[in-house]
Amino acid sequence: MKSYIYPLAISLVISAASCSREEENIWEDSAAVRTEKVVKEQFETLCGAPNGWSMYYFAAESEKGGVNFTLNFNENGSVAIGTKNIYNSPVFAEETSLWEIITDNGPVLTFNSYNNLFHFFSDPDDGIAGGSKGVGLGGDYEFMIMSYCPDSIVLKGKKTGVYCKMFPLEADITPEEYFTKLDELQASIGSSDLPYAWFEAENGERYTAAFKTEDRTITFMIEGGDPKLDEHIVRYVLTNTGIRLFEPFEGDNEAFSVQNFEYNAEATTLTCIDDGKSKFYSEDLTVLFFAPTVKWDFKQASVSGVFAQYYQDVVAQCKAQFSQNFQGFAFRYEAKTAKATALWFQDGAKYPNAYLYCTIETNGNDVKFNFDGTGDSTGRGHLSNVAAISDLVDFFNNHTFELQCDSKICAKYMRLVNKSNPEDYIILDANYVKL
Amino acid sequence: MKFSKLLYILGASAMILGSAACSEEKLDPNSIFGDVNDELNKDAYTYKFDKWLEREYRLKYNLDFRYRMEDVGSNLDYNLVPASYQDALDLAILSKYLWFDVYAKMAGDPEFLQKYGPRIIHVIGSPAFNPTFGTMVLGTAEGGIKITLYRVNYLDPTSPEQLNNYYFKTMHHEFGHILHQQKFYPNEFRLVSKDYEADTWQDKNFAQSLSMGHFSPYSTSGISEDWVECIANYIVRSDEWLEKAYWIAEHDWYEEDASSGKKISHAYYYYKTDADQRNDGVDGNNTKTYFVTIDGSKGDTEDFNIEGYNELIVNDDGTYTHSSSRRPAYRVGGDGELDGVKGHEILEHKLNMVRTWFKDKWDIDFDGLRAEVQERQKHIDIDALRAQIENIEE
Repeated sequence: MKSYIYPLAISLVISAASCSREEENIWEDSAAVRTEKVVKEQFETLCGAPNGWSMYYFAAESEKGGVNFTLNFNENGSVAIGTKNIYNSPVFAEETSLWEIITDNGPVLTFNSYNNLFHFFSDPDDGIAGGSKGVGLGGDYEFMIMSYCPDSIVLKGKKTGVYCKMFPLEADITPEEYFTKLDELQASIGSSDLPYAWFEAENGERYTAAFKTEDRTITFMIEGGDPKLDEHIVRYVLTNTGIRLFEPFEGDNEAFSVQNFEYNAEATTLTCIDDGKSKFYSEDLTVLFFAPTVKWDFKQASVSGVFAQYYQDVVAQCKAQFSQNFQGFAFRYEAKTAKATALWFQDGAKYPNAYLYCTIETNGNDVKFNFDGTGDSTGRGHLSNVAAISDLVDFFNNHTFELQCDSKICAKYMRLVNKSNPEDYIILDANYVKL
Repeated sequence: MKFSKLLYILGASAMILGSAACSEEKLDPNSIFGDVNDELNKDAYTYKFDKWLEREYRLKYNLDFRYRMEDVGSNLDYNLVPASYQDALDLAILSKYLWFDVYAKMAGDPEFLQKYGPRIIHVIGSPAFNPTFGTMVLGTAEGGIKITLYRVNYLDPTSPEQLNNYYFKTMHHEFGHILHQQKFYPNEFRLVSKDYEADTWQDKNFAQSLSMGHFSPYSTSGISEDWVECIANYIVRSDEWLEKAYWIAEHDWYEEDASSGKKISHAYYYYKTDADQRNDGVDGNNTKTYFVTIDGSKGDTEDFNIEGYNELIVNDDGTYTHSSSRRPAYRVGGDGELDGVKGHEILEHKLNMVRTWFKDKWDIDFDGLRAEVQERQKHIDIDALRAQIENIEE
């Protein structure tokens, strides 16, 4: 017993001494050094884009859609922020303010001096941006940098958690030109002048999708739904390649989830990136042509072939006979009379508009007009007295036309083409009419 | 086991354990970040401003003027946005001209600001709105070290009234807190007013507050606020403003809704004509014609309009005459007869305590301080002040 009690005691003590407070390091460097390294990399990434960045951005509490910015980060601590948007900048504007990457709980990109274009969305003064007092539109101006590389930077709002993303601006365009391209993208995708397009989810559910581009919202309603009960108003923002919804849209039955869409200019399709199948597409052309909330205008520059000659003659004869400057034609369908109306406009105060009524037959996208000589008194008078209008009406009555459109998703502009001679056509421009 | 052997074991264990417990790393004298350069970056967009701040605030007054908003350093209960660079710059130069340099000049102790001044000023662009109470925070002072100033983006350097109402009164107010947090105000001050209410000051009527011996409705929210409002208002308000305020304090007031829905304070006691006096409530006609009305009286009023004030002529016998009609103005009651408080006397009493405190505790002539601020306010040349930064030498 005595012979081993000493070694036992000593071994116990030594084993106790070996339970030291040293811990194995998981990382090679300390947290502070690692953070500093990441901050430096992010700084270089932000400043490294040769032409700056584009950003899409949502303000959490706004009822309208998102906005786009261009940002050019300078190593001297300044950033030039540009925008053209539906809130505070209907034309392109740019303003310089300060930025930093600070170490908060992690690296944070902060725009820490006020920029009238950018901080508009986070200003709590409802007198500046609307929204509620003390909250405003609820936007962020500080962002956690979730990922970064020369091709993209993902940011998450520090206060609201809303994501936004930055992409390097193409090398050969100015910030102002970038917003022109966005305008063109918007015009290709949807128009407030049209009553709706269709959205079809991957599971086959169909929704009407009414674009309100001035608010950057889409109102979805399931096919056959009740406009008062079944509408979903969804906010969206233009991205460089399509649109992103503020939150995933899951439909009435939550049977699908879509958020990001890509526009294919060649195919004129707007397809969901998330599931690869859900898509937007245009309503049938004849349905749009007869939509009671759309007036289809055409002017002298919009006509071709025989229509060009007719138009020229109408202008000359109205001037000669009535001293009136002819302004243009339009088609509009009146639901209550079940008749299409051909309108034309003059600049004289006495006879601003004139109407001739017709009935229409359709077969697919083919349209056959039948002007029966009825209309208002001015219209009937012009039919009798302006030979070119009479000739034009006869031409419509004696030919079959086809409605065509280059876009499969947005039929803001259609062509009415003479099936006997495609060189004779009219480009129709949709314009929203309040009922 | 013999006791002596047990002792050897215990002793050996203690030594081994002790040596194991005492094994510590020595601190590396070198920074993990390598060489750190403290010098300002001459290429920085803000270099001139930073250099001026370094020279005029940090080195002179031991103060860090933080113009880039620090979210974590602000009040996270509010949604806030940063100050614009230009507004922050203007505020920095005006603060030094109208506040720091004044105290530096008037304080008996040449190191007064280095010892007792704030260490940090943090500027924020937006107000801190409290939608529930319809109020906004203009400034805060924390722990005697940091002053936060809000609403900086609304700065108008061409308007002395706006500067005073929203910024410099706030600065003197917050600095007053810092000072009394270090050297307490006299206990006697607590015995002067008894009508403090912390949660309803925003509903108080400006004229009534003055007539009760408070410089502002916010003064009624607490004793400390009352103390610093005395300091701030006396320093920044013009002679004309103080004269009107004292006149209001000398009369009793009540509040009524005007036809516009605005809150109006009425001097209860003055009527243009004897017919007006007879008609007051006598025949059921609610239209009353008063001699003196004050609007803008709700909450923490910055400006107020007094209608009729300039029309009063005070006669030698203490009666009043309407200046244009020359008719007597009928005085029904006097100061204190309605609310039991002689407002002007109380304000003077409080100011005397402040004067004594400034002299005894800080060796500062309070009236001299005011005179210096008033003189500087008359000569604000914002372009010349900005040029200090634009033309700063390398």
